[in-house]
Amino acid sequence: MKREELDRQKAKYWGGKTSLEEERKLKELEGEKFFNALQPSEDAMDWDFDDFIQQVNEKKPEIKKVHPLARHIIPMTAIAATVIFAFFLIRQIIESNNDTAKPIITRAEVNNQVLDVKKSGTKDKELTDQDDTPRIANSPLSPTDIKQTSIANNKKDHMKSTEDFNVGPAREEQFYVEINGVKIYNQEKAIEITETALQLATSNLRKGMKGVKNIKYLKIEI
Amino acid sequence: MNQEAFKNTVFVLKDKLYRFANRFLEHQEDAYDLVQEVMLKLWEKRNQLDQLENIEAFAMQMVRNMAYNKIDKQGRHAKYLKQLPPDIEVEKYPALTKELILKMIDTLPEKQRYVMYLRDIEECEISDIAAIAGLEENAVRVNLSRARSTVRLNLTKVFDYEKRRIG
Repeated sequence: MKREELDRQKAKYWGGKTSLEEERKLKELEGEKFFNALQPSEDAMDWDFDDFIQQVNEKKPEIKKVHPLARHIIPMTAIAATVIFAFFLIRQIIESNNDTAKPIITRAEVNNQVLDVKKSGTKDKELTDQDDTPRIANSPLSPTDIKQTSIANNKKDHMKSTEDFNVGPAREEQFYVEINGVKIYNQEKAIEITETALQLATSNLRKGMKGVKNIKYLKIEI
Repeated sequence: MNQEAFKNTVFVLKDKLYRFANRFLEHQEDAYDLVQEVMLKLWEKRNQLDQLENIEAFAMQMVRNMAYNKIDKQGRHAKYLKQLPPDIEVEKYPALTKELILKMIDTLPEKQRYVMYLRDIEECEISDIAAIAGLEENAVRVNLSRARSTVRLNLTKVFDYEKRRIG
């Protein structure tokens, strides 16, 4: 190779523009130590194919089949959707079977009547005697009873103040609660039933319009 | 891909892969283990290898990535992290040798390092280097030019350029 040509090739080489063929020619030139040193390496790996196949066979049982996540996404999503659907379906069935969903005619009525509370113990006894006995409310309030009535309107007040006022002896002046046409005079039972009735009504109201439809008749008077 | 085809197209790359791994890892045993690991992985994927455009570039990329993993996770010593020894002098390297050039290549920045190695030592085509390094062909040429210039400059510092006629 002429000197000019050699310099041109070298410049091309340093600029990274030579082809593989041109670079091989440079490497073969005598006296060019840098290029001579760039001969391809002969370092080899002492490992033949039979050894490799043997390694493969030894390793085979250890190889775990890896399933890509994408392959599992659809079945997993389907299972999750089924579980969620089943959960809501079962919940709906349970709710529909619940007693609270049945239409109940509720009538809770507390008449403003004066209670005979001379002695709380006596009164309780009387009330106990009259358990579950339907009674018709007595005569309307007289003007003289108004004061006592206003005191006794609140059930809590009534319980606290049973000893504070002393009114007429009439049984017919007792409080009563009328539910589904039945009047209950037992105070504890009346409160219990009233609470239950109100809970049922509240439960139905919470369900929105669907629940409201279950309430056919509700009247509360205090 | 059957066993014979694998032997002729993939397994024949083992020496080149081994030399390439040796450019990353300081110890030859690590490079040996790494290539064995790469080969086993390729064997497991042998049915998909036909779809690859360039199996060699793919295998070289695997070697490079796994070598970096070994260095990062297993704390293997990286050959290229070694700075050029300050004692590179005429007394220690009386002649311009391949060993010295490789040492200088090892001190180059990452891209320049394997671009120059693949081209000047392994005689890879620019397109193959681009595939292995994940660069455009023009970028490969630019990196190659910079790498060669740096090596030339460093060699000039060690040897009397005119006297030794480096290039």
